[in-house]
Amino acid sequence: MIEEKVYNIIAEQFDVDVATLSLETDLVNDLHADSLDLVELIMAFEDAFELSIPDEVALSVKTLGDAVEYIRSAK
Amino acid sequence: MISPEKLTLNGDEILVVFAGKSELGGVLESLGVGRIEKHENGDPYLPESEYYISFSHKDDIAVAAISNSRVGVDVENVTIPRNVERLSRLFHASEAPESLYDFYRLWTSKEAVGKYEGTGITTELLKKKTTDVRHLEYGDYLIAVAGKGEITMKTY
Repeated sequence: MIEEKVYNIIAEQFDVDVATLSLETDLVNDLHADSLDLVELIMAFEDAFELSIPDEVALSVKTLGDAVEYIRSAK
Repeated sequence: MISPEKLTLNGDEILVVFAGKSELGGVLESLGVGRIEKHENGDPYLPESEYYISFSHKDDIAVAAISNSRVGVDVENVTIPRNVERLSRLFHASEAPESLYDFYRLWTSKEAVGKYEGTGITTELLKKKTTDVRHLEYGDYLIAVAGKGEITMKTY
């Protein structure tokens, strides 16, 4: 459930096919996210999962797996 | 590519160089800025020159700002859509952007000031009113410059 939602948010923001995503997908190296993309993404996660993600956690999210793991632990 | 003349900056002056990402290195080399290295925080500096430098890139273009004093530069493509309503929460309510263009003006200002001050983007910076940033436009690109002096932009 969390994984699917994360994939959908990523697919929409980066305009990529969900089928190309995996837990190993790296936001910067694979999706070419810049600092603004990452900020926008973290805010999209906050809204979708009703969370407040601290800056230090936001900075540590490198892969989709990192995002899913954090959201799972915070819910 | 046009071969630029060797760089000489008099007093308060900022040269903004706008070039293809793969061409900027060659342009800077021909300007004679020498080696480019990075401080521990990632900020670039010129060990063989008295000038200060700042970089930004977007898509396949890159921008460098060079000055006699500290300088920060940022570039964004203003045609890339963003969720402005969501992103406006980043800023102080008095500064909150209402349009995509306003958002990019504000975001590039914060990035430029973060580079100028050497802190990068911080929550405090996002919430603080930004002043003393100037903007240049080139095609779809908006460039923000934080620094002192008259700005000259050269495109390659």
